[in-house]
Amino acid sequence: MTFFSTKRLGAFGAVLTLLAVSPSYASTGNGDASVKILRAITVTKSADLYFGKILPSASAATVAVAESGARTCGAGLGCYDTASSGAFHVVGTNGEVVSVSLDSTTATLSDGASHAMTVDLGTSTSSLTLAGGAGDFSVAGTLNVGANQVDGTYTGQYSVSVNYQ
Amino acid sequence: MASGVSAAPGAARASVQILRPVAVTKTADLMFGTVLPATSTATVAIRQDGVRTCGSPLRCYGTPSAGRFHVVGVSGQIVCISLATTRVTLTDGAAHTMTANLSLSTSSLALAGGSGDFGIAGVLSVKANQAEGAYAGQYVVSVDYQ
Repeated sequence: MTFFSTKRLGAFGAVLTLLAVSPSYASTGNGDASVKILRAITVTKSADLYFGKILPSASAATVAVAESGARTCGAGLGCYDTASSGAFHVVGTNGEVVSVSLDSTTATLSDGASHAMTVDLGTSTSSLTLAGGAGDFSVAGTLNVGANQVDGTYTGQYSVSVNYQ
Repeated sequence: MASGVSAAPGAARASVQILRPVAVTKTADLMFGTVLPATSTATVAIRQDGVRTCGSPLRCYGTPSAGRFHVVGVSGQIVCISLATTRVTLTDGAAHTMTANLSLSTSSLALAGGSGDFGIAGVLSVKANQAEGAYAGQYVVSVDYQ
């Protein structure tokens, strides 16, 4: 009987001991550290901005190529060949949004012999979601053809910038 | 911003070709020559090379020629050629007429060196006992860049 009581007391004592020790345990919490590594963006030209072949007139006029590639030939001009808008292909990290901008909204086309024309550039895309890790955008242009513009092949360069947001 | 690191530039070309107007000059008239008609209708044909086929029982004299045109434009460009109408009426100025059917030697022409030439063939329908006289008519060709 006594033995049994002692055992119970002993058990009780042990419980007290545990309670006394408990406040000294360290408290822990989990915190996350994370980072998303992006892939470098690459921008590749997929189409040049091409106004086609233009027969000028005695007065200045414009030729506009929309982002769709549709061309509007200014009054008095003759337009031939198939025009195309500029197009770019962007590759980066899947699902990210990138900003798109033209480095300059004008470009100069030259025939390499001191004759020139200017082009006004534009794009309706200011940002692009890289669904599947890629996206595309187009560049429209309006060419200013001078009166009796000298015949020849005129070319120029323009550039765009694409950046993660 | 680490824009210098993550931004990517893309460069592209913008271009246009400015053309010069096309000039078309007739270098030879379509001449059927001199024809003696018959009591039945018949035709006189002039090929692109100017060779004449005189339909029986007509008699043909004189020197025929195919129509010919010289085109000047931008070197290397291709122009398309068309006839406003393939049928032309020749009249003697006195209510007598004949018709000629025309055909082009080509519907497009590459202006190698900035120029090119094309011809017009014709088939003249001569009526029975066609009234004598000098018959003339005009036709129009159009040349444009493609």
